Amino acid sequence: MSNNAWLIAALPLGAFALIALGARRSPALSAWLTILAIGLGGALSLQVLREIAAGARIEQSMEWLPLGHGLGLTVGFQVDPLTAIMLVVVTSVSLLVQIYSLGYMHGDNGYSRYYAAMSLFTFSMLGLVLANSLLTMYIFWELVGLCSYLLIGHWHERPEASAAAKKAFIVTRLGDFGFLLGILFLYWHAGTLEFRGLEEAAAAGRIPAAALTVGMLLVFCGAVGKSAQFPLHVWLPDAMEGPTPVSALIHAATMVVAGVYLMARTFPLLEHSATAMMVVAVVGGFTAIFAASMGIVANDIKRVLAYSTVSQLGYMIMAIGLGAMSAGMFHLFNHAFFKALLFLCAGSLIHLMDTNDLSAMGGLRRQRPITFIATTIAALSLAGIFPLSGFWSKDEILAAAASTNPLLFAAALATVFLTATYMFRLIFLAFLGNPRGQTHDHPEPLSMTIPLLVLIVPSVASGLLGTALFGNPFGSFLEGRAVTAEVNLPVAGISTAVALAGILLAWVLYGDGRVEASARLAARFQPVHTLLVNRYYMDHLYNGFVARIVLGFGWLSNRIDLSLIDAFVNGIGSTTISAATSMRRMQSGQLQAYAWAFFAGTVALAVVAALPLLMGTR
Amino acid sequence: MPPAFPPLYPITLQHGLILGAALFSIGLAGALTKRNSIVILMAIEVMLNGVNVTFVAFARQLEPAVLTGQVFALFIITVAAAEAAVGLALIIAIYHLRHSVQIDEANELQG
Amino acid sequence: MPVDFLVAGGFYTFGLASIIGAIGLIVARNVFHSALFLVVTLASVAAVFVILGADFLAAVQVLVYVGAVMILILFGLMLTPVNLEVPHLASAGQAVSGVLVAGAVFIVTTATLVSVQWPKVVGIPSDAPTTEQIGESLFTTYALPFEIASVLLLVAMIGALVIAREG
Repeated sequence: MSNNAWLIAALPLGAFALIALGARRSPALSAWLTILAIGLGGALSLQVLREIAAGARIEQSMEWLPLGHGLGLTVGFQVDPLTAIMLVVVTSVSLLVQIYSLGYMHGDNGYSRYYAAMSLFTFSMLGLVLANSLLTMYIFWELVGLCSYLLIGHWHERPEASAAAKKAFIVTRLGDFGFLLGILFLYWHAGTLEFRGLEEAAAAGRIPAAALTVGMLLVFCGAVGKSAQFPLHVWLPDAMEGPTPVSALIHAATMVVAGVYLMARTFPLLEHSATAMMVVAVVGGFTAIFAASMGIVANDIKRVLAYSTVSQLGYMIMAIGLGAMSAGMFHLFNHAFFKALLFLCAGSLIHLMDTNDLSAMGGLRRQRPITFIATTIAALSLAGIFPLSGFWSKDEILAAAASTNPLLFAAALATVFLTATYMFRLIFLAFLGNPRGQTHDHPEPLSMTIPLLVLIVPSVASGLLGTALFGNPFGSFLEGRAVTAEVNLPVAGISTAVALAGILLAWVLYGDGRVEASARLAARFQPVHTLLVNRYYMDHLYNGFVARIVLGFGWLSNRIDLSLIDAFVNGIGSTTISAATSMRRMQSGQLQAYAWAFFAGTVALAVVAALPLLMGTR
Repeated sequence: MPPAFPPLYPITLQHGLILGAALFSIGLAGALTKRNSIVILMAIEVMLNGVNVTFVAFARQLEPAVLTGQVFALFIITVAAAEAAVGLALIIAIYHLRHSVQIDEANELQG
Repeated sequence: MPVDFLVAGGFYTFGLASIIGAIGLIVARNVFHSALFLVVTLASVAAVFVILGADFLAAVQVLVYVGAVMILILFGLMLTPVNLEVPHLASAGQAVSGVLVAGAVFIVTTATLVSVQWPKVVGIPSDAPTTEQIGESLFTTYALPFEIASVLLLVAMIGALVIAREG
């Protein structure tokens, strides 16, 4: 099967093509085609996972653009443990989210379009995961960016949605530009873009150290954009304008982790540059605490989760920067499940209330007990409470930070505290206390409930794959050798205590759904609150400063274009026109004038030909 | 070599050629200056006759045994006849359209 | 020699007549006069053909030109009444420039052919009848052009019919 792993990606592409070619007329058919394709893909992924676990390694590529001198560009795919894990994560979460969408998107005008885009996205994401070279990856990288744009803007008639889609696309493009430069830079130095070739070149020291640092930092720019790291994090909270299942799949579980995956995939290169690793770790650590602090004050349930996602992505990036690549991937693995679960729960509430506003919710535990339980479990997992999945991966990351960089460890601990606080603030405000808003009376469709129930299982248990208790199968699988995980007891104890403290703080402040506590706190800590609510004025900075520079430059370019380039081009045009206007008078339409010109020309030619004779050379 | 006209007598190749050139040029002058398109057609016939005279003169002086020039002239007469037929048909068609055969009025192709 | 003298006299007489006819064609105001001047030219050229030893061609000239083409032209003249108030020549500028170019063509051509050293006569000019020889070569050496000419005539006939009908 592994030899044909590309099939996994091809299946959703086929679904997309079928929907685009005609199945779109039947929304139900579109949906089931997508689900079928991804279900099959999921089954194949599990089979691939088994074969990889048994020791298989696949890499196939073909020449795309031969450039001579042994250089050239190739496209191809590879399957190794990293790929296999990502395949399983992407297909399983996709499958659940798309089943969930059956109910959530029911009756939507763009139902078929939604599923077509979802299929295309899954294809792109799987292609990205399977890619065996930076170039192939970059192609799919841009494709997922496109799909993200399409899906954020799914309700494009809403101006906020189309603005958010544009923002997401442009901001991530900014990072992608760096990524592209990095690709070119690495190609310049290594002469290949295949991961294997790059790793060999780096290991053999064929890439100068400085060049490797610059190249990897440029590649990291792509990850910063796609994984919403500081300072390009601004698009992800706005991306919540898309349908909630999209947020769950793309902006929590899969696409945004592409950056993390990229760093994990290029980790063998990153390892050789201490500077680049340092930068990666610091950016990740800073993003983690930075985003978590904004999550404290957000009142939009999805934005809270979005900040949480940014923060957790920062965790993973930090882990990779600290050299704990498998810990970062482990957290990615666990996070995909419990964050998808959280988003689907949020979707369940939004479906019930038709609002994202936490202050309009309250007391929902009675109407949606299953959602309540699922959210609580996922939140505990996210906060890192023993023995849920988040605990294990977070502990590994914290242990890595504790042993290498105390400053980052402190930031990570603070993030743990903030994470626990904002998550339980969310739960208390949404589920406890008395109802504050109108709810629909319809029961939740089964297609939405089942994915919640299914996702509870990995949210609780996926962490066990990486524990010392079972011999750390996850780490061993990823590294391809037996790796033991040690539970760092002091770190685990401290982080659990901090998380519990955070939950306690949330209870003291917001327990029983005391929404008015927000206003009181806001008044009490006015400057801080203002800063946080305005998201550290990052958006203002971009809009007021960066955008002004860009617009000014654009204005200048426009002027230059109009007054220089266009003037030149138009000048050519008008010269031609005036020349033609004067020349066309010769075209009198008079037959005799033409005949006259013909004979006059003949005579002239004859005279010219005879000139040497007439001048007396003979 | 300075141009030297042949003596008036006896008749040589050059006499025929000059006659042909004269007929051709006079026909050309007519074709360029007359207004009636049928007259222009006639002038063109004169030009063709000038050419025929040239061919015949060559045939007599250069290749008297083969008569290539005469055969060529024969074909020119054939083509001229065809040309006259088609040309007159065109002129009549134009006349139907504009009730005039003045060539200077047919200037639809003016740029 | 008397024969040469006769030849020269004939050549000058009919050559001059053909040139006069051609000039008359241009100068005449009335199109019918032009047509009559054309007849003079064509007939004179036929006579020149005889003098130059092309007896068959002279017969063809008379039959085809004077007989057929002229009739065709006269029909064309009759079918297209001419407004006699319109000047028969083009505008003065065009007329003068046209004559100038025609004159230039004549000068250039004449200058060329009098200055060229033409090859000597390769065979003795014969005044023998040419009909048999031309007929033979038409069916041997020039069979293909002959056939093509016949196709051309057919096409011209059909084309003339179609154009004249649809006009």
